[in-house]
Amino acid sequence: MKYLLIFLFLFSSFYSSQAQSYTTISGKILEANSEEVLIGASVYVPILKKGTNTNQYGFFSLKIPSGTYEIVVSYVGHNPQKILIDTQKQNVFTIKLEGVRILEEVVVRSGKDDFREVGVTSISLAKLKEIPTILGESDVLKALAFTPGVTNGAEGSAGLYVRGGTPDQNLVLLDEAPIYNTSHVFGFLSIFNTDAIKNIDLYKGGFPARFGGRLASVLDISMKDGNKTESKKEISFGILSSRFLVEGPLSKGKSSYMFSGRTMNTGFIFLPSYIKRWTGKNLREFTSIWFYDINAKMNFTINDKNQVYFSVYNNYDYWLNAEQVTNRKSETKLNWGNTTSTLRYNHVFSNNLFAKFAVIYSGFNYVFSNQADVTANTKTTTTGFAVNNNIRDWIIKTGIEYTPSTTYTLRAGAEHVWHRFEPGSVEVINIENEITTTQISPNKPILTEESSIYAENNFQTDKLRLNVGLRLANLSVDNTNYFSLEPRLSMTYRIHNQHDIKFGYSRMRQFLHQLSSNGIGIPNDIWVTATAKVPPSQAQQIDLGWDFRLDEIKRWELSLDGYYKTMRNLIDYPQGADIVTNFKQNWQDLVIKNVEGKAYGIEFMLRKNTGKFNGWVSYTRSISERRTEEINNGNWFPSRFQRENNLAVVLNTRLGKKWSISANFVYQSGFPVTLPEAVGLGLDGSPKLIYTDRNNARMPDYHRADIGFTKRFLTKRKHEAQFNFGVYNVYNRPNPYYLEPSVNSKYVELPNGGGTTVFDNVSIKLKNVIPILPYMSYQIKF
Amino acid sequence: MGSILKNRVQVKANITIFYLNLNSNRKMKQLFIFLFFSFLFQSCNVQDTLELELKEPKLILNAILIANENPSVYVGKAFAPTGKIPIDHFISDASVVLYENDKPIGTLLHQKNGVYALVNYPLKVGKFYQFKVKVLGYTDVQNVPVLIPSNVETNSVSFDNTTDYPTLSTNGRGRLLSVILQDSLKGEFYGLGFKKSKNGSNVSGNVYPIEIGTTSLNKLNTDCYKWLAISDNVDYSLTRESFISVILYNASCFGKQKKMGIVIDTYGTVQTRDKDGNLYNSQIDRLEALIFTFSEEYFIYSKNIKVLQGIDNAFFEPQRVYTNVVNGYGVVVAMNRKTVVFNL
Repeated sequence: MKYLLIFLFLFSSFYSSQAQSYTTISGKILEANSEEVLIGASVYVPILKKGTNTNQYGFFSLKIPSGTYEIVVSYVGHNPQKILIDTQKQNVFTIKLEGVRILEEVVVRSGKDDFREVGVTSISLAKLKEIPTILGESDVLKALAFTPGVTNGAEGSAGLYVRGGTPDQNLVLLDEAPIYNTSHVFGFLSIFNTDAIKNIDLYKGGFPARFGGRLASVLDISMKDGNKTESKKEISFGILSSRFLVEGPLSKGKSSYMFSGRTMNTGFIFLPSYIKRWTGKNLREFTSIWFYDINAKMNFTINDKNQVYFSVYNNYDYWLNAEQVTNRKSETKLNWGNTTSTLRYNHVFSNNLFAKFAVIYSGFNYVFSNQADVTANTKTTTTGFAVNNNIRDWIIKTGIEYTPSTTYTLRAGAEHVWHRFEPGSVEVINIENEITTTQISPNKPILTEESSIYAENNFQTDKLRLNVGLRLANLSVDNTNYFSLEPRLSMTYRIHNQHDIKFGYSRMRQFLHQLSSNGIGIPNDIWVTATAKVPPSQAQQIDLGWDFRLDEIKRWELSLDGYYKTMRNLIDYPQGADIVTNFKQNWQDLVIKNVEGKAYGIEFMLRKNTGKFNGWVSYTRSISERRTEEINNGNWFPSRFQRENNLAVVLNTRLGKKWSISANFVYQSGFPVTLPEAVGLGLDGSPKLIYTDRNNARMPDYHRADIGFTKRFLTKRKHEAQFNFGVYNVYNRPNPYYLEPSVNSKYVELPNGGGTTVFDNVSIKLKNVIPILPYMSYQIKF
Repeated sequence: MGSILKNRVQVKANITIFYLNLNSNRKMKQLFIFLFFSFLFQSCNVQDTLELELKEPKLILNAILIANENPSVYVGKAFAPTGKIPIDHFISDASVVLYENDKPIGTLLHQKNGVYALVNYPLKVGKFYQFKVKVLGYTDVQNVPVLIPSNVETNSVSFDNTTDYPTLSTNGRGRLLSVILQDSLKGEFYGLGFKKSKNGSNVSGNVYPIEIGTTSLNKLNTDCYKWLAISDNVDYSLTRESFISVILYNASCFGKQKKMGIVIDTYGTVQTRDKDGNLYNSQIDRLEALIFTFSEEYFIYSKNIKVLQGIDNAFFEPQRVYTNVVNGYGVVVAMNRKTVVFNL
């Protein structure tokens, strides 16, 4: 109630009417060639020192005193425009910004109005795409790990660990639909095809009230809408995958489509083995791995005030390992995928009131199965199991954006989600003497409903940017209601032309959990909902920050951020538990509840945004720990993949008009791992590794350097083309991916003749999987 | 963690060389002719070995206390998690005292390789036993008192030597050994295994018992079943000990008069040498059915020890190794057993 009163007070104070004659200017900022809306473009009135940014749909609204002004419209990678406006004559604008041509130097100068929000990573998509990643695959999720406060887990992992959180604590939205698994190929690649992405925002703190449901971060990704003026095609060939994109107008200037696909090239490599398998030939061992993803989007501009978007996303990963020896045949399969669909309607009620309504579907499937057939004496015995984890979400959401005054914008909305969880159901099959026995674990599907409303009060002057919000959420499950009241605050104050200080406070609640094993290798993380037995987790976070622009045109920037976060009601596996062999138990009885967490750290970043030579250096020092009575005797222990020190250097430079070079270096402390404390002879006389506390040691430090070259040019037919090549892990650092302990024996000869095998030594090998890897890829647009 | 990395680098690189002539750039034209190395994931195999030191010297106690048999216990010392296994892995001058229901019974004497024994004192069913051990330079250790489980009572023990049962092994021949317990009590833990012999000598081979219940997974490891290798005469000489394969049953999962059944895979196939030293297959002539009752510690230990240690298996959390030894490592367990012989 207390928060509600504060919220109402703030709302009423900002909503006070103003005596002076004012006009609200509004409209859209579009990319000139494609007429795609530009998200986060700046609209600034220098003489008034007032400005705003376009929202997620390219819409802006700014209330200014009536009169004639010069406004500056700018966006990264585009030439800024200065426009003279007379508010008496026109107050709705559609402004198109020309993209910088590929053969020209990119120089972008932002408007002076752009306050950096606390906890927000603001690096352009174009820059993230230039960072070399494994086998040259452009991967924005992996590239984000070069920014402060963000790391990947193990080598090759696509999950993001943001400010001491875990990947399940990241709200990943693709066109507002939640994505539950972001990994292709066991995490070596993320599921997002960069060709199909228009914008990506990462919130690490100071969360706006419109986002909720996760504890650590919000990754808000928007798909491209499609070119409204002309048809375009892009084809890319890489070592790991190949992809294409087609886009164009359905009705010129009014509606467009975009369709993009990507598939793993290994499908061709495994084709001969598949043919042998299909034709019934005996394959002693057969392994196959493959993925695809598809993005599709259409948008229809009905008129200036009404617009409809429809987007679909689907991805699928498939892994198979089969063995066959005489009378025994076994198959292990793992497949997973997401499907999302978003139907959204935007309506502009007036110059200062914008509204949206969306219906969203999100589904996630995961199946891990094994089956073995043994034939003996003409009888076949079949045994097997299948672990399933499925989620189905149906979501409706609505929101408004209202700008009643020069300094105030209200954002408010509501959301309702119907979840259906099938949390790690396990099926054990036995077919013997033609009698099939199937046992299913007691993990029945769980239906839940999640409702939320929010309001954000945005107040902005030339000195202050303040976002005060409140989110009210409720989860209904098993006749139990979990109500959540989540106040949010994000503030940036300009104490000097070159200095901003920032503060943020967030309370977050997460109504679902992920059962994560400390093992690595395959994505065995099972999503489960909060239930009457297992309460939702919650977190509080405080952020402090300082931005320093070293020169007037902001070529150099320095930032320092700190955060402190506490978490409650997290869950964990007990040591030694696993869902397959304990399938008769309900997961709710298996997990450890009420795990506490805390995370704190500082983040430093020095960057040069523009010029031929640009890039950044970032350093993060962070601690993230967990505590429960059931692990490590109730002592705090480091959380999974928690790395204390993270250093990243990203450098880009241009060589002439066509060539550019990107180089990066990353250094990270080793992540926690459970290692044996001792070895001793066991009850059977053989050496046994003695494990005690969880995460009692650390893997060796991780470091790596990559270099990439890009040549952009026009083909003879004047098509834009790009050739990339480079080297991942230039100095072939053997960064360990997993550990392999073993007890080794040796043969000794006995004095009286003959010999025997005796236990000789114990070793733990550090297994790395990614050595120095050159790559190349080619992309052409036509 | 004070670890040192040892590099053992083995690079097996498949190198493919490409010449790329990059044209159409005035400044750069024909300047780049370079070698491009193409590696696949497995083309470069680099292995490091972790070296870990022992954090704290601790004693190890291991014992299987068998009803109606004399007690013995192994007193060893923990050593570094990686590296050479020391020959002096045991303590030969420890003070080892056995307690029965909290009363001291006697001091055990060192035999060999850290094994201490007390002669002429058969352990009694229904009594709790505890070892208290003192060694100079180590913290004193003792096990949590362990109960000798009750005698095995059966209604019937039968062996079907004629019917073929499906097995999980290549060219397997399955035979069913089944036991009906007289009164399986909740909280008790039972086991069924076997020994086979020919001409009076025990023979081993590729033989595994397979539970024939409703969830016929080989070597089960659930809360109701465990597969366990029992070595009841270990000499701690750093050689691999022979063992008996046993399926353990948790009576809590079943009603009274539980029927235990195992398929003896590749039953009866024994490889023996003829007078010229050639191997040939022959049939066993004797089968011993071993029916056990176990202390709960044995069941917990067997569950714990069969779990793959987490860091190399994605489905398992690393397992805290079970111990009922205070201030040390190791495990003291108890069992009772009954043998039924089938001469074939």
